[in-house]
Amino acid sequence: MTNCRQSSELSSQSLDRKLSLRQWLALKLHTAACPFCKRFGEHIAMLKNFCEKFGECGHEKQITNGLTPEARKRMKESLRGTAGK
Amino acid sequence: MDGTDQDPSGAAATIDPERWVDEHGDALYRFALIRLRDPERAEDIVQETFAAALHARAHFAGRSTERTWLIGILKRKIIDQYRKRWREVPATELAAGAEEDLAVQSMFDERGHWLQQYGPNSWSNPSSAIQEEDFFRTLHGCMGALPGRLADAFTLREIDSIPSDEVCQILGITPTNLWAMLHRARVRLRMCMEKNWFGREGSKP
Repeated sequence: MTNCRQSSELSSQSLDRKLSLRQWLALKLHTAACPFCKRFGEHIAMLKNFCEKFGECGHEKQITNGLTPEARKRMKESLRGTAGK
Repeated sequence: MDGTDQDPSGAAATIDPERWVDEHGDALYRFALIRLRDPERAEDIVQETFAAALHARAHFAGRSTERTWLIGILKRKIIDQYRKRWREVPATELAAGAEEDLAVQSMFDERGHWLQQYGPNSWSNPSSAIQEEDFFRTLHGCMGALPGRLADAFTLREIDSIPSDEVCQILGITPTNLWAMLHRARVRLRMCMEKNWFGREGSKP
C-alpha cells in the first residue's frame, strides 16, 4: 500500500513528469481515500498556477516599487561611461 | 547623447540608454528580484543587462518591443547566473540536502502518514486569492523562506515554467535529484502559504 509520504511524492512528480500507469493508479487509489493527500495534490497544483501568474508581468508590483533613485543614478552614470567608449 | 548620431544606420541615434533606465529599469528590476530574491544582485544584473544591450544595440531589429528585447537579455543573464552558481556549490551546501529532506520526513509518522499538525487543511477562497492585494507579496515571502537551493530549482520550474530536463541541464543535476528538491520546495511552500494566507479565515476542517 502507498502511504502518505509516497503519495505526496508521486503527486509532486506528476507535475514534472509522466507517472507510470502503476504509479498513477497508486496515487489515484490513495488520494480517493485520504483527504490530506487529496488536498496536498490540489494545493501544489494551485501553487504552480499562482507562480506562473507571478512570473508574468504586472503582479510583481506588489513586491517592490522598483529601483531606488540612487540605483537609477548609479546605472545612468555607468551607462554614460560605457556609451562613451 | 553625444557621439551616437554618427552611426550611419541611424539606429543608435534613437536609442538612449538613460531613457532605458527610466522606462524599463523598474520592470527589469522587479523581474530580476522575483528570480534572484536579493535586491543587490537584482540591481547588478539589471545594470549588466543595460550594458550588454548597449553593446548589442545594433542587433535590436525592432521585431519585438524594446521591453521584450531587454527582458530577453535579462532572462539569459539570470539563467547564466544560476548555471554558474550551481557549478560552484560548496560542499557544505551539498550536505544541506540531507537536512532539507529530514525537515520533510519529520511531517510524517513512522508508517509514513501525515502527522495531524502537518496534514493539509482546506484553503479559504483560493480562486480569488490572486486578485487580492498582498497575495504575491506573501508568496514571494514564502519563496524567500525556502533554502536557496530549493528556491532556485522551484523558481526555474514553476515561475518560468522551464521543462524539467532543461532545469536539470542548467543546474547540472539528475532528474531524480530535481524531483526530490521540487517536492521538498512544494511541501514547505504549501505549509507556509497555508499558515500565512489560506488559513487566515479559520478554515480548519
